Amino acid sequence: MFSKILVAVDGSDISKIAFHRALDLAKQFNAELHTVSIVESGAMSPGTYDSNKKMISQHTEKTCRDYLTQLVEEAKQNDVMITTHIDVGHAGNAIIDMSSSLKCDLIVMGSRGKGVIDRLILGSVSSHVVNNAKISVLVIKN
Amino acid sequence: MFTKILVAIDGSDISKAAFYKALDMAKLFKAELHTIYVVESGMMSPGPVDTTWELIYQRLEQEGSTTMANLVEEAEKKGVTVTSHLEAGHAGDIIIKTGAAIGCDLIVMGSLGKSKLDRLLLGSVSSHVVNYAKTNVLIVKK
Repeated sequence: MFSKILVAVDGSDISKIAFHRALDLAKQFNAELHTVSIVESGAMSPGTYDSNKKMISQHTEKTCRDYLTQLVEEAKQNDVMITTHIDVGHAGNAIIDMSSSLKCDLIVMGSRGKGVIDRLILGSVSSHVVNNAKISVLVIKN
Repeated sequence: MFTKILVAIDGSDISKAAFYKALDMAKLFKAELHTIYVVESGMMSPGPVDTTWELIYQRLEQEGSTTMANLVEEAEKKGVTVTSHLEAGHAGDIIIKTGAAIGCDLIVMGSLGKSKLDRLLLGSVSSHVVNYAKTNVLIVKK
């Protein structure tokens, strides 16, 4: 079965559900659990690094760290070993790269993140990961 | 955790790997396990059914029932009861419809079916299901 699970979290409701599913799976399979959050910097054009850009990325990173603290707490209560990772870049690529450097055998993620447009049944990051990852992917919809 | 699992098979090796993953999960979660094989008849143009189509259809139907019967037997040896569904139509649509009809909370399938093109990391049926299913989907890659 699965022995090392990577769950991608972005603070959205659906990623929280994905996290709980992954936590349950890790517990049942006795697997190692890793979470990854990506500060999406792919959206910024290359150029001078000014104070606005700095503020945006610092703010995102801080929100991210606070959120991860909660998740670690929950995992501890469930007696699951958890490691959190924060990375910067194109979210889809960064999730796949992280999964291969950690040698995970399963990626768990929500079907979409903070974009909540209904007709988008599968968001761009989830779509990228399920299409390009070399390992099994569990897409959580509810 | 998951209580009703539907695993889609088409006789390919990767679909067998998906079946074993689903079997392990069903056993661990004490979930109900369903399996489906779809005779892909969507590619046949409407019109009078001649003997050639009839033969192709019968051949596929037979492959479906034999493959499923073997897997169901293996599952029973491991103490898991499986309900099999043999359907015909557009594979992606039928898998989603059957999943909804039986009220499953997880669809398991291989990333590719019988098409073995390497560059295709996600086949068309899997892509259809992960995009349009309203329930959770596990794409098994190896």
